[in-house]
Amino acid sequence: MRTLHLYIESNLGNIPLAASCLRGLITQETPFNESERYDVELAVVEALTNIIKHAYAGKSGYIIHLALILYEDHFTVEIYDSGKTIDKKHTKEPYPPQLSYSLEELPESGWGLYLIQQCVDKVDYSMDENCNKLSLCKYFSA
Amino acid sequence: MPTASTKKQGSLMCLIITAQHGKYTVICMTEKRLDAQIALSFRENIKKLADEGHRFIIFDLTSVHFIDSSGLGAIVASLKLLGNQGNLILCGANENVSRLFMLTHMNKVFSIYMTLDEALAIET
Repeated sequence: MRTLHLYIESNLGNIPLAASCLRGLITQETPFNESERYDVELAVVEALTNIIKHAYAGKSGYIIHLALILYEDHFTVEIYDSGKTIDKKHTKEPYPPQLSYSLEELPESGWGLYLIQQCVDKVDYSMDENCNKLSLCKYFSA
Repeated sequence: MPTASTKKQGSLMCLIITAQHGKYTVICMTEKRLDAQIALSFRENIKKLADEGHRFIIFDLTSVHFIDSSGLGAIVASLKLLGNQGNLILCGANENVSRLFMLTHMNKVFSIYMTLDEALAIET
C-alpha cells in the first residue's frame, strides 16, 4: 500500500488542481484505462464539489484532505472534511435517472451522488464529531 | 491561507462563436473543462447569445476534455433557456463526455452528433 496525501482549500478553482494530481498518479501508477481514469476523476470531482458547495456552503478557507491510496488490486480515495454532514437519506437514494421529461421538467442538478456510485465500485461515508470521511474505491480490471 | 483565483466565475466569456450556418450559430468553449467553477459563466454566456437572437445553437465540444454534473446542469439549463423556439445541438464529444450523457440519460434529450460536419449536414 502506498499513499499520496493532498490538501486543498475549499475553493472550486482548486478542484482542477486536485484532479490534475489524481490524473497523473493513476495514469502512472495504476492499470486503469482511459475510461476508468475518467470515472475516478469524475467521482472525485463530484465529491469535492459537493463538499465545497454543501458541507462548506461555498465558503473558502477550509481544508479538504485527500488520501490517494494504491493497493494491490484497487485504488481508493479517502476524502476528509470538517463541514456540515451529508444528510444520510441522500447517500442512500441517489438521483434516479428518468427516461421521459418535458423540456421544462428536465433536471439541472442532483446527479452528483448518482454519478459517484456509477463511477466507482464502493462508496462509504462515515462521520464523527470533527470529521466527515468519504471513501471511494475502484478495483483494477482482471 | 491564500485564496485561489476565481477568475472564471461570473460573466467572463467562456464561449466563442466559430461559425454561422443559416439560423444555426456554432459555438465552442475557450476552456477545456466545463465544471462547477465555470458553469455559471457558461449559462450567462448562453443567455447573452440568446438575448442577441442566437436561439439555434450548435455546441462543438471538440475542445472540451471534461464535464461534470455542474457542467451538464449548465448545458441542460441552456437547452431550457432556448426553449421550444430554439435548440441546442451537441457535437464532437469525446468518449468521456459522451459517457456522462449516457450515465445521466441526457443522451436521449439532446441531439448529439459525432462531428460538426455531421450536425450541419443533418440539421441545416
